[in-house]
Amino acid sequence: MDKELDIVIIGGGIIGTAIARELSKYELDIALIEKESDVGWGTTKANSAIVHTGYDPKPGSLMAKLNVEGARSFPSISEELDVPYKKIGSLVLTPNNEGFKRLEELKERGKINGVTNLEIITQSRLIDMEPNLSEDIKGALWVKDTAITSPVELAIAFRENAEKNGVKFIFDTSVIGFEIEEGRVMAVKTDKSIIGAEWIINAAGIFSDEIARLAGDDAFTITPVKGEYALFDKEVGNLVNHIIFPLPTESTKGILVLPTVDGNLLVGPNEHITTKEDTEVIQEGLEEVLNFAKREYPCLPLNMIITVFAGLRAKALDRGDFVIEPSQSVKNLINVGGIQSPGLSSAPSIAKYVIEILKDKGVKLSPKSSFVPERKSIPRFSHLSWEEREALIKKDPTYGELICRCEYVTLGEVIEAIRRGATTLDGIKFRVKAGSGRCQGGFCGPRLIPLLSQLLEIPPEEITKKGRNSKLVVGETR
Amino acid sequence: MKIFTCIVCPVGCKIKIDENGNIEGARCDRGINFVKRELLSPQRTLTTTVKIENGIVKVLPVKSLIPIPKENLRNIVKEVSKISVKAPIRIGDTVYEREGIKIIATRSVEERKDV
Amino acid sequence: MKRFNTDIAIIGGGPAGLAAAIRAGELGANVVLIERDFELGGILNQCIHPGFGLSLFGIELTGPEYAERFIEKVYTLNNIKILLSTMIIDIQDKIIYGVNKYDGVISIKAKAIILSMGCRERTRGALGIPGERPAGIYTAGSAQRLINIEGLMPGERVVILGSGDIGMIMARRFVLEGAEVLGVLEKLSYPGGLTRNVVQCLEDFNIPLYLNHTITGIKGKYRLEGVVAEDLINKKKFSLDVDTLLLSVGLIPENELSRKIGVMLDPRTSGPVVTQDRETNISGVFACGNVLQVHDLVDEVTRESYMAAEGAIKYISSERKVGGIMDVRPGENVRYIVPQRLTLPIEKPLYVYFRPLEPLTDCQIIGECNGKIYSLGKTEYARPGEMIKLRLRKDILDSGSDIKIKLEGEKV
Repeated sequence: MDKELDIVIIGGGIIGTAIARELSKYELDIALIEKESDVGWGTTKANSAIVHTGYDPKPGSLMAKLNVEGARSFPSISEELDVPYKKIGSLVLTPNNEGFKRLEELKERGKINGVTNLEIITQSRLIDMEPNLSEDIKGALWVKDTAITSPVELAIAFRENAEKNGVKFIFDTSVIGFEIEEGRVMAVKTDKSIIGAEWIINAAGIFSDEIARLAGDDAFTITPVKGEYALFDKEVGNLVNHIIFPLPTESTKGILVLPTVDGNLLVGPNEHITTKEDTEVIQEGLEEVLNFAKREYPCLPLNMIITVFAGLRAKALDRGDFVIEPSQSVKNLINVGGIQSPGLSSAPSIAKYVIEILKDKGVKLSPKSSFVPERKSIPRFSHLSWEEREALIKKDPTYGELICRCEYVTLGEVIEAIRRGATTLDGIKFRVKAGSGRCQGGFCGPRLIPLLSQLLEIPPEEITKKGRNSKLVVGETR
Repeated sequence: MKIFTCIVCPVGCKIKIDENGNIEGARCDRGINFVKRELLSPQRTLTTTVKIENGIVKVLPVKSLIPIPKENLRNIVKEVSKISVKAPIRIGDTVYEREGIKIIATRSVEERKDV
Repeated sequence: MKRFNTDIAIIGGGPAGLAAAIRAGELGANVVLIERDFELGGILNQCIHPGFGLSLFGIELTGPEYAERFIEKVYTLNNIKILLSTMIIDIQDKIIYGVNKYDGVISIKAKAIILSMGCRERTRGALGIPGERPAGIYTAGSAQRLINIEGLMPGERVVILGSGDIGMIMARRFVLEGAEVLGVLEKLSYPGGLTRNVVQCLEDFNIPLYLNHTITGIKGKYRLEGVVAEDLINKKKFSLDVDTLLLSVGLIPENELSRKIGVMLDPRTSGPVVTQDRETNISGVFACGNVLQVHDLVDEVTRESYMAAEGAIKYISSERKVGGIMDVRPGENVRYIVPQRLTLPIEKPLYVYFRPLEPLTDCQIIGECNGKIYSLGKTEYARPGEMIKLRLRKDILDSGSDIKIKLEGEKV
């Protein structure tokens, strides 16, 4: 047995990292096991990045409670961790007069859940707020407090802060089983080691039901539901000013049109049940998403798409809500599963809720006096003033070398990203944006591969795009 | 009758040569010579890169000084890819030579200053 | 902030910027030449194949050899200041702002600016090819940079989408480096690049060219495992088992900086609208090379850049007289024409550069000007991948009226 820990968290997405950070406030030995090479590479990296206010979930549900609480704590968390957060507001559109009734229902539901600043507006006001919107839209529910964030950046920030406060992160490691004695997990078995632990927190996203089942717990089943997206060039970023929702159905909030925190335009997601490994964008799916958006925004320029991608919602359809509870079959397992939307918005409060569960179970939680709450992000050259740039370059000349010309990212930022844990091209992209612009890594890619090889001291043929066998080159030519 | 697309210059004349050796379609003499050569023993200029040590670049672009037989291209590239040179290199320097082949540098490469 | 004050600032040290700097320097101007890479040469540094300089020098050179001629020359002119590893980020009120690791933030005040930033490649995202997002998908130019500059081999089993010159050249490069190239897929019914490249890059190596084909699927979650190709004529699909997909599907002039200062762009070229002096709609701002129009031959880039330099010299010495303006417009079968505007008086000779919309044979070049029809020339083959350079007749230039140029011929 390798280690004996107080808590092992399985899964390094937005939920696992939020829990890790929250738990790092206490005197506990904690490790987080993640099967990919970095945090946030499951559902966390492929969603709409919205902090919902909480009018949508069913009143009385765990989703409703945790969404509203989570959304309220987002501004302070974002500031503490130096992560983007923009409260731009959202509009739920209705294409006809009948829809106003539905909007009233949503407003009422919001009130019950504790959401304020909800207003029904009519077409004339709507066109003022969204000049490019189709004239077929008759009105909307204006939700002033909806915000957008950067989910992977937040997961990275949670990770950095958790690490700073003592949590150990273990990457490229898959959980393959548990050693169980008398209904208790004694140790977690991974493909690389055996880790002893007092408490296991299962935050494994799409695979959280399988992790539970490995421990003998079949309390829930995850159905993966794919959502496809198209991302547009920043030139189109100001086509919309708010997050645009259609009228929601029973199962989904619908295909959205919204700005991202970086100034791009995002369109999607659709909704199709699929398998757990399928994040493939298909032609029909792309067309479905684009056609829908074009009906709302007829001038949407389809030739300004810079990339398309898909994410999987982890739906616990048999339970109909978040599954955040101690396992009934295993004494020291806490399941945090079925975290579909509003999972991102609820992340901070889910973490606190898990702490409460641990407290209830008698876990000793002594606050750590050395806990450091703040985390500063890597300086972003593209956002600095000329004076700030000058000062930065003077301190460190590598901030004067531009390596990503589309997003104006410097060598200094890339080096810092690698220092903070990026080992792949995607790891660099999510931390400092190099490779996320209009040329999609065409310019910086060939420069970043030898740089990673040099700084990580591994041969270039071992550098990957996103871990596993996503190698970029097969070797040196000479 | 054979039709060749001349590759000597970007125009790419379509040049015909019949059984009697009459050539038509070439806009200049180079095309005529190209077709004659192409029939007898086609040649190509070889360009590749070789390893360079201690230079400001990692690989040195090189070319064959005179065209080499087309059928030998792949083999000669393999042969040439085994060599390594040291900076500094001046454009035009011979980096590899043996009977029938002369490979020269197509750029100058200074020595790397920082290490 | 390190400040520079000069006559002519040139943004981009590839073939266009080099030629413009040399001509401007030889004509006596103080020049600041700015290049983002650690050395001059631009894209030529990675174009290790021959095909350069035949027109200008009478001998065929490789890209680096062509570049070195100009690089050597530019270092001999001591009125040219060269800034390397310097990225220009903004232009405000004709003051250029950039950064490098030596000087930190720099600003350059110039009487005239020449834009020579070149172009970038169209990406998979812009094509909307669906599928997974594995490693192993490269634009042809990125793969060229990896092999010829970084000394790294992208993959071992390759398929290429797009029969532009870069795609075909890289097909040959991959084969010579020991990879297997399964084919080049071209969406249109004719190849996109020079015919000589079809011969010496594809036919020479028995690499199949699939016309009327495209890619409709990508397989492989982490590293590419295969692509789905589709015959657009009979809609039949087939799989190709590859680990590398190269995209050679178009070049886009890099005009983000130009947009920042309000330079008017021609949607047909994605480059600035210019006069015969290569001056944009912003007076004192000139453009040349691939940032203006995507060229086939670097020799023409050099000539065009000489024009821009001469135009900038005339501008700063106030020798330029602007009388009337003649618009030059593309007519039937013509995709675009550069220059788009002629300012009077016109110094003869004057050339226009254009491309056909699609391949034509037995082609007549027809001009319409002042209500009259002119025969401007003819060509046996007109291909989109081969720019046509045409000298305009004296009587047209003297007319002072707008010109429309069209092509009439047989569709291939």
